[in-house]
Amino acid sequence: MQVDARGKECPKPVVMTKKALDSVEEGVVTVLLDSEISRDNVLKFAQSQGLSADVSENNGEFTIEITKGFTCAAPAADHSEKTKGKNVVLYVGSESIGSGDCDLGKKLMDNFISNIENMEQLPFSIIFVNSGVFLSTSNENTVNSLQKLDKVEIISCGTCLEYFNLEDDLRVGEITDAYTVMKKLFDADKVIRL
Amino acid sequence: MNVYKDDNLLVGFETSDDAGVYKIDENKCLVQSIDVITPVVDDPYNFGRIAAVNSLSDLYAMGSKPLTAMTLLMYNCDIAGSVMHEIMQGACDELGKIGCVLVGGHTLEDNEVKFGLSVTGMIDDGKILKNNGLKPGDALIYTKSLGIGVITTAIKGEMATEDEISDVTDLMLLSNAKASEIIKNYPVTACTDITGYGLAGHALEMAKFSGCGIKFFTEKIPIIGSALNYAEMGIIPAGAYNNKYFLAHHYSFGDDNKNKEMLMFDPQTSGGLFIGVDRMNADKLVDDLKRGGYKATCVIGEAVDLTDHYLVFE
Repeated sequence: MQVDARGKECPKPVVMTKKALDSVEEGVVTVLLDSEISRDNVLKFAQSQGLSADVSENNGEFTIEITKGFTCAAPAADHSEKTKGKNVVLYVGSESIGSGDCDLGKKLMDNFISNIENMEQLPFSIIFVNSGVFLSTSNENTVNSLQKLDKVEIISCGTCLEYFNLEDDLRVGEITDAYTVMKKLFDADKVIRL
Repeated sequence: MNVYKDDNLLVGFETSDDAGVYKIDENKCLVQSIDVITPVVDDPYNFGRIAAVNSLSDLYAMGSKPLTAMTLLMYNCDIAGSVMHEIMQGACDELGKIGCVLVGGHTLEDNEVKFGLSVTGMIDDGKILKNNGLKPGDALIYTKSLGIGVITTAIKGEMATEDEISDVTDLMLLSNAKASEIIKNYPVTACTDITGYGLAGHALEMAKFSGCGIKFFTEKIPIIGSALNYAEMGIIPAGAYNNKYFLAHHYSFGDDNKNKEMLMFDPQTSGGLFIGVDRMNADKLVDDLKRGGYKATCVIGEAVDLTDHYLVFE
């Protein structure tokens, strides 16, 4: 069953999703959305009902597949198994994304890190280097987001932590060295570089 | 932006305060504000009442007495005239209660109904309640429960119960008039009403323009019970997300309850007064406000020296 909630104002997307789920005993309800806010609200709703939900994005539009019951064909999303498959490494070399405006870059990074948990395939490792180490130490928002990532290896460059006087402030993951970082990058199937 | 400057403007928009204050003489100031809202309840008469109370709130937050008002109504021709009449009557009835004269108004055609008022008040005791005099050590008091935006969103989604609708309507109709009178008897250092930017947004303005930080006792912040449940279900207005995004680098939140965190950014319609006062007077002020009808009043934080973030939620 498909619900097209694109262009709909809060709380219509959640209300439409609820109505659709109430109308079926079991099955997959696919919700089409075009805003991050609606996406987050519908995801919250699905989680509050104890239902699994898969999110995908295409050109700024989101599709959420919510599974109700247990005889549906779509595999139930199992968050702890998301890392199967390719060895994907996320390399974060700065606390901000892009160049130009630093404040904008930091906001973009906060959003990126907070959205990792919604991705279908989580990275195997996340490596923080240079000013990226602020994200695993003093940035409350990103620390909270990273702490939620199950079975993802999170490592921060020791030299960089010392350089910024953060060696005692690591709040998530482990300290690593330059050789380990190199090895992980060379061994990876895919490296996403921010 | 090029703006004409006048020394008689004692409070302008530079400090994001609740209303503009223009000096008439040594003790008298004219106070002006405007607020327009979309329907927050289904009943048009109550919507009109709430819009009036909401608009007047800014005058009370500055410590002024309302004198005159003008209405601004956006309406859709497809809607029955009686609905518009009910909205206007609701507003008129609230203005009549406090002796504030309706001098006119303006209407515009629009797809969506919106209604509000431009209001003018007077301060004649020389006491302007600004938002920017907070000092580290001051206690911070709030007079209503948070969650109005979430509940009115639940009403829009036809999910709220009759009791929830009735309770939130009463909360929005609770005028800040009496609170404003009560706090003038105290050495208040800062005061603002909590509306569209949520508790966090308006607290940020207070902290920023006072030059200090605010530490919130998160457990103590009063929240409408069912608002947390609705937030968990994703019944959260877009305004809350926008407020949170806008404040991203200015706060830290110690509690790991994400839904409670969202409620700090929940836009309030006709919210309460957020008051900074010397800590020695805080408990007595809380008692006076509770006796004045503001049952949810409590100390929810304290002003601190500024550190990494303007706002720290413990």
